[in-house]
Amino acid sequence: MQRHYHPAASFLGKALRYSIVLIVIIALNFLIPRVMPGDPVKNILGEQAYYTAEDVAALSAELGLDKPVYQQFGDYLGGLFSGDWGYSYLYMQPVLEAVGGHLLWTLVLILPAIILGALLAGLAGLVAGYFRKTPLDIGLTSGFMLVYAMPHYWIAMLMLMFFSFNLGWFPMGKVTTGGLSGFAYFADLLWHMALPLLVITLFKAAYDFLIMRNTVISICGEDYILMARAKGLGRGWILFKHILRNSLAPLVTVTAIQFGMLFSGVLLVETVFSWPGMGTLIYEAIGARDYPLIQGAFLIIAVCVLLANMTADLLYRRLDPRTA
Amino acid sequence: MNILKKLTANKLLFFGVVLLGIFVLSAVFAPLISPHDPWTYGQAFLHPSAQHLLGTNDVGQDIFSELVYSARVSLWVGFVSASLATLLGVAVGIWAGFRRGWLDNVLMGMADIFLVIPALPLVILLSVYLGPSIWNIILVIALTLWPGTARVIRSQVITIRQSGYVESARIMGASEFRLMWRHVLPNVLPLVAAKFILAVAVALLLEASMSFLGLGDPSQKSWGMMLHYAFSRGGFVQNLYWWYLPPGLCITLCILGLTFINMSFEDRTDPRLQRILDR
Amino acid sequence: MKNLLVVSNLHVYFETPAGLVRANNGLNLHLEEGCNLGIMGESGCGKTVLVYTLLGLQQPGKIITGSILFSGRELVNLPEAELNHIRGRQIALIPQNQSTALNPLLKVGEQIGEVCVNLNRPDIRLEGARKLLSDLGLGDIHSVEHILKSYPHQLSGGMRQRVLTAMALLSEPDLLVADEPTTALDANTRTTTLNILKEASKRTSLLVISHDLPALKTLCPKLGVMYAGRIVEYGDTLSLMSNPLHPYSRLLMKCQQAGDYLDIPLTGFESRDLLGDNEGCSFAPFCPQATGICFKELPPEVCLDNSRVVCHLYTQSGMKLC
Repeated sequence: MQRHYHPAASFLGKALRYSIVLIVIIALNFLIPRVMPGDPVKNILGEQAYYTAEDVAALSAELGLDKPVYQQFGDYLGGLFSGDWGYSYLYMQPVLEAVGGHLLWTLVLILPAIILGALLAGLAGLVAGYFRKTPLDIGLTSGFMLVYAMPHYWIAMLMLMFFSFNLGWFPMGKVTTGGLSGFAYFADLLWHMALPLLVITLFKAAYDFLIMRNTVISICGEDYILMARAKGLGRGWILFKHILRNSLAPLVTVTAIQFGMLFSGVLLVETVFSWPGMGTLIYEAIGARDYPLIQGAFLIIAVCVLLANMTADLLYRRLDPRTA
Repeated sequence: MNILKKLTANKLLFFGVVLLGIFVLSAVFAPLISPHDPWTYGQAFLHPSAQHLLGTNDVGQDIFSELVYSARVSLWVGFVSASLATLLGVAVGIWAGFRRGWLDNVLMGMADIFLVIPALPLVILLSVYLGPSIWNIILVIALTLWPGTARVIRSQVITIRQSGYVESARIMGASEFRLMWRHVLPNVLPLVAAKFILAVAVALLLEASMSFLGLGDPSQKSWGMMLHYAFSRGGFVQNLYWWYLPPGLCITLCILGLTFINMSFEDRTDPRLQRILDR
Repeated sequence: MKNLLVVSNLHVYFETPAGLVRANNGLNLHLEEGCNLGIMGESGCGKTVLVYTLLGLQQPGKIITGSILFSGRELVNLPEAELNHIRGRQIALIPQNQSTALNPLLKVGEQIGEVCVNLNRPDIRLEGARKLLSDLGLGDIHSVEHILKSYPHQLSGGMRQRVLTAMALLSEPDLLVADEPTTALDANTRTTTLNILKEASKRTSLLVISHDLPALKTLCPKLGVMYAGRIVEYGDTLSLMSNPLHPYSRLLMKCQQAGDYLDIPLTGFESRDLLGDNEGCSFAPFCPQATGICFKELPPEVCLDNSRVVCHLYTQSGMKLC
């Protein structure tokens, strides 16, 4: 858990760093199938692709495996930017299409979860840190620690079992019961979203709560809070105008930095709920050993995480005037 | 005796060690504790009974025995990956923090890259190609965990390095290695311990996640693998909660234990919290 | 002269892993209205604890007995709500550390403004603050405006000092407590700060805690010397400085005059000496004039003309006890 986040000196420096990371990720994606043990054709096309021994030579030529490495990389880059991310034999679609479609569903879950989770963690952390060591704090901290310790997909399984199977309050998974449109569709979607959203929100809040609480405790010990009390300001005023305000920057930063972990968690939860997002895509791709699909997924996820980090940097600049 | 006293004084540490200890003992004494051999096939989907405390899975293996034996693999992977990651992270962190200059930039650049790349997707990508052996899993997890430790250790080393006595030792002509080994390392150890515990927890969860997705080693039994089978082989849809509840519970309790231990360290290593305790 | 502040037999103890620390151990002082009081002492003598106890800002769990009468009102054990009403209005604080006393994420103007809002007095507006800042030497209205729109880290130490002083003076407090106002300042800023405080003392009574003797000489007609949680000597600043009565005061004055070269033994007193039950005088182990009784009995407070001393040396020959 990070306590101090030190943004780089200049925006340009940051942009450069992120570009380098992006290039490394793309390079990794390019290299891995080509250096891994096994048949490179199979490594690139995936195990779903069907071809005979005679095809191998032709395929190799087509994939450019006989060309020098830098040329292959150039072709690869070109392919990426022109939308050719390979073909998924599992879904019988170009990879970009398959990934894009699934990404949308994942975002539908992740974005509201981030906001709700941050709200929950922020408020709970504020209260717990301010009322340190009281029963309220102990209760909240224990609760969130418990959630933090549970594997996400296990919570998902528990919720599904309890609320769907046993109580029948929520549907068993998937996105929609089909055949609806307009407002009814939207309402049905929300109904299906409720449980997975709850699970993701809970474990995101659990991550952030502990950090928020620690931040609040640190802030409470700062000289300017003591000074605020010496000025005779009211407790509520100090809590919201000073403590909350000063803990926003670390909270936002943590949210963005933990985005990668959050995404990973979401993948697992989606699998349990049969939610047609990236999680299900990866699950099925792993089962079928459809490498192009996995690669495409990895690339998209890494880019999303990069974007989240960049957003964190920008937001931090706005929230902490010392970095401007 | 002193250790025992320290342990009981700090309740958090005590509970953490106890919790973790239960599973470590289970792992070590697995053959003694488990009533059956977890690999023997039998009648599938049996409900809990005196014969099979937690029933049987989809191929008739005794779930309770599986649970006990899984402690071995799960904890083994957790500890070994964390150890590797910590060793690597500490080595890099000390080296970079000490030498500074271009070496520092390069190493930290690498660390940053690995930090940003999300762990699970990277793990998935590598495992898919490398195949499902335990050592592959361990290596891959270690690869994703080392940067976190490296960064933190490096910051600490830089602070220590600027402290008076290190400078005086250096002026007196101590060799670099000696400086690193004798002076820097002991001061960094508490932080290393905390980071190590954290790494074990993360490694545990990563292994569980990987196995759940089907990337685990089918020749081994781990809690994650149990959950994988429970989910994909009908344990879930048939509501066989004695199958999918216990492994998750074990993981949860281990992580809780580790978290408790870590929290008991934090109260001592965090200077800001210390300031408040002083007021 | 009416007494604005009377502290009687104040004991502030707190439990630490190392034992019971008696930060204030039977402390007596009084401050008359319109008359500034300085308190002089080394680090660790309990000065800061005194300041925060006066403001009621101690953590709960600190054991506080004794009496603090402010304008005749008892502050010890006063409910928090009422204490909070007195803080920032009747008693104001200029803190020691001007670099950390302001919230780094809020503009200076906002932080001054919240004092105005909190005071709920229509006669004090931001206008008053601007004028105050100007009076304190921050320049004309335009410069002041610019400062109000800045963040604390964009201002110099001297400017922050003025801002903090203005915040304290805004409410026209009866008592202004300045905690180590000149510590760690360069000569220029120190002079500026002393001028600010002189300006401030026109509007209120000052209680200045410091170990900067020349500063105390400038600002405060009355002086108290603090050692191990007690005021061991109290009197007119000038007469105390020229003719210190208590052995510790004598040592202090000697140190001040000796300048760089000290041929006097250092007291070696540290805050951990506040631990334990010292039967006798806390200074006895270091006192060049200690006698047997000093180690056995706590010395009483003795009243001389305008001064008070807490020392066995003065208990003979019919001196009055306070």
